[in-house]
Amino acid sequence: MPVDDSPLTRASLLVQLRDGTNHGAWQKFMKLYGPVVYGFARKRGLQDADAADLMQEVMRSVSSAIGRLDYDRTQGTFRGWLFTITRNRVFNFLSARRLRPQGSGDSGTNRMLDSQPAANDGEDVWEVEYQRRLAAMAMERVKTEFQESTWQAFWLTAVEGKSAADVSGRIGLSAGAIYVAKSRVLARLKEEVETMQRQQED
Amino acid sequence: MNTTTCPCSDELQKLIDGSLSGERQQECTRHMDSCECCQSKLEVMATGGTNLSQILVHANEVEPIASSAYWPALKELSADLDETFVPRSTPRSREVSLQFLQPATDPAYLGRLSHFDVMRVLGRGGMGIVLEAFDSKLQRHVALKVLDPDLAHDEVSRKRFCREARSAASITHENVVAVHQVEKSDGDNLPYLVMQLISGESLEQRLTREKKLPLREIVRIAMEAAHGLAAAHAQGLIHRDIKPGNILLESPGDRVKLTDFGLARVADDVKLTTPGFVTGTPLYMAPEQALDKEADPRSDLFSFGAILYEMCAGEPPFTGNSALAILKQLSEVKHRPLRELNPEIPEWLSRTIDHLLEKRPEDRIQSAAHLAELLDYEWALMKTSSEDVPVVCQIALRKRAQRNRRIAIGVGATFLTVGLMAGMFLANRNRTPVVPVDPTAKPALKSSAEPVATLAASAGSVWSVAFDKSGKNLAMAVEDGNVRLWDIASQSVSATLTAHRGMIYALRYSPNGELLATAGDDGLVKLWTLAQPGLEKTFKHPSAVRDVVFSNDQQSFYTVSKDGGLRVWSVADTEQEKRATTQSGALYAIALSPDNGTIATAGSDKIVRLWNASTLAQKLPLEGHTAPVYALSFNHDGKRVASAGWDRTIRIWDAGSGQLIKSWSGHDGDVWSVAYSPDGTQLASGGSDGAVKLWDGVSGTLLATFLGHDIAVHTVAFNRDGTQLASGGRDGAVRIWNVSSEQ
Repeated sequence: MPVDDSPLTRASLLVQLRDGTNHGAWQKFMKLYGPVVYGFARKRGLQDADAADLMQEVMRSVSSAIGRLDYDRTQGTFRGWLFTITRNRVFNFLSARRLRPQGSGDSGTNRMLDSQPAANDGEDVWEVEYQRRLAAMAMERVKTEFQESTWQAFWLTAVEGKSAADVSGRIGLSAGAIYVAKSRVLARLKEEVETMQRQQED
Repeated sequence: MNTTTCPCSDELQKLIDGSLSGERQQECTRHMDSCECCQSKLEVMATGGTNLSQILVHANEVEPIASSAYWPALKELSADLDETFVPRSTPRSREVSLQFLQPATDPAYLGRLSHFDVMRVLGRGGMGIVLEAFDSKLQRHVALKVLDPDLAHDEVSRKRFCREARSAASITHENVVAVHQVEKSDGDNLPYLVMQLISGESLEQRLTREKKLPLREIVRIAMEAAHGLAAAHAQGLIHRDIKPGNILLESPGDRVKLTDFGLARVADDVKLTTPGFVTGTPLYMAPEQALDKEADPRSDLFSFGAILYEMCAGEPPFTGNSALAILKQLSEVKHRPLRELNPEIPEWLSRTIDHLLEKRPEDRIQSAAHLAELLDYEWALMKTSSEDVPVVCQIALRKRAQRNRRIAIGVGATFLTVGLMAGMFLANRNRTPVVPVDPTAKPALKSSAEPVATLAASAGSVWSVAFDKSGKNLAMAVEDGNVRLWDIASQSVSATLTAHRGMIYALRYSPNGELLATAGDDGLVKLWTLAQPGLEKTFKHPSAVRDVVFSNDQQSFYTVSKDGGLRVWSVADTEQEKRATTQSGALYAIALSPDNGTIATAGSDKIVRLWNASTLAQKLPLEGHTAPVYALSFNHDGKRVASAGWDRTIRIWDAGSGQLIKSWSGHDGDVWSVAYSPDGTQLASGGSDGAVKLWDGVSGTLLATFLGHDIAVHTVAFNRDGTQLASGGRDGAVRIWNVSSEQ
């Protein structure tokens, strides 16, 4: 059934989207947290396909529980709740594998297998993944505010970890100019990340 | 390295903010070259002592790689959620709160904001309230757009609101609602825009009432809106939320005005991350926006296409019963062919809309300016369409035309008498423009109905054509960016030069025939050495180059460009032009007098200007055209210059005194091109009506009319002995006509 194009329908569509109870909201949610869940699972030693499955499971359980989730909670609590779900799933996965050994010689995996899920197990890893995700999204958002050369100077040094001397030869800015460019982008990113965080906590 | 003392913290902060004076900034930046201590201090200050720097290292890898199982898993998940999720549709009802207003001085008003007396609430948008107010200082009515106090809470969104608003205020264009100023309320620092008050309705309201609009209205509204959009894009501003509600139709006069530039971004910011909201009206959203990629000007063009589609079809191109269904459709499904829904929409318009609605931005029409130009052109054509001709005549003409589309008025006039009207019919896709002829006019003295050769590239409009020195070869500039070199005798392409990105507006051979210059929409002029392929030189311009002409000694050439620039280049120096001058408005045409002493230029300001060719000092303005001038030509002795353009007239001027010698209506449509024959006895012209006309070079008497191009003729050129005339245009072909001047 096509949408009637009366202004009323148009308006209510917008309201639905902004209401945070439908798919538009979900897409944004998954954009932010999907890679965090996946990245956390990989850090805990899961292979790509397993981590992808796990992300799917976590999101499904969130979607079924979300109707009951109280939105008055702060987003900090929400993030913690998501971490709990993710950590438990990862633990279950690794325990199952311990019962049916896969013959993985990977020492990282073995170390994981030996560990028990303590209350805060991996929360710092989770937090770093989350912050990196937030930073990546913030970068996407502010990128267009800068000139290409400024952005390159920042990107090559801050993200790709190259030295200012290396980058200087590549993009034709002096080392000093590269430090200045980098600091300007950093300052703007810090502002953007803080805004995003504040909105998370609202 | 020159500066040895370290800048103080305050100065470092200013260095980050970019608020140091130019000289001091350079010194400090130089200091940063070598002072490790300051380098790390700068970084700590920029990140405010947070761990941001560590977080950022390899933060680009946070997203799973393209081949990861993550992506199919995500897709599956979205599909499942689509099935199970039922959107809740209980609109938030919110009262318009006017608490930020100061008490009114007069009970007739709602309240006061600074020196504005607020009269009423005009509406409430996604990000704020729109009020009608009276500016007591400037004594005028204005609209105030006040940022939603909820949003204004956030310092950063408030800053961004002001930033976006300031850039919106930088657009001055008759098709954009003017933002007069950006203000903050005294008490609570609430930012608001002071805008031009428009009376009328929005396109959204109009569409609700009328569904489909008449074709002329569609083209007119689209044309005006495209100009507004092009002006904004020229300022680097992307709208991001073009929808019928943001297109206002001012009454009376129905002038089209775009509003709310860049403000979607502000609303976006605030709603973005909790756990996420898609802003923008999904019905008109570009796929890349739906996928949450960065919007660019081409995203606006997609939205524009969706609105055009709705005006034509009576419904938007992508519909569905949930927002996600729409988002999926617009990113994955091709829209229903427009002409299935409305067969009356002409092929060109439906093709233009398809082009705008391409999923990949790189496949779309690339700029609003290009779109505006295209619509201008169609609008100009449309005004000469057959809608004004009685129906009976149209039918008779159509039958006639099906039998023979190439008819010369002069000799064929008697065959064409239909009822009381003598005319000719030009098949123009599915429109039927008619060029009426004054029945009392004397038949033309001479005409040749058939071209001696037809060179069809069929790769888009031909914008320029030139014979080489021998007259045996011909170069054709085609819309697809390629130059085709033809051998006329065999009517075959002897070479194709991949010359420009986008349209080629002009090409000319050098007087000795060794060089070919091409000028393109990509802002480049290329010089091709014909004997040595692959050695072309490139000369960069800041905007599209519309015309180019060589000096007699082929040591230099002159160009005119869309930014109003007139430039002299040495063929030897690709880096820097020898001389340049700029005027406001676009320049479309340039001609050089045979003695190389005088340049003539013309463009959008309707004035033909004469310049000293060596100093670029301006000599005379030739004023008289009532619309943009597209074409210029000097006669053989340089004493006369001919001009023509949008106002359909051809004018001949005395190049010495600047006096207008003669002016007449040349074509029933824009005149795109004029050219004097090498001996000055004849003047050729080509127009939007599809006709090529040959006039007496002195008296302006019509000598012959050549028909064959179904649609607009963009370019005409004589060979060097004046025996042949080439014409090319929108039909993608060049036709060569015998025009021997012996009577």
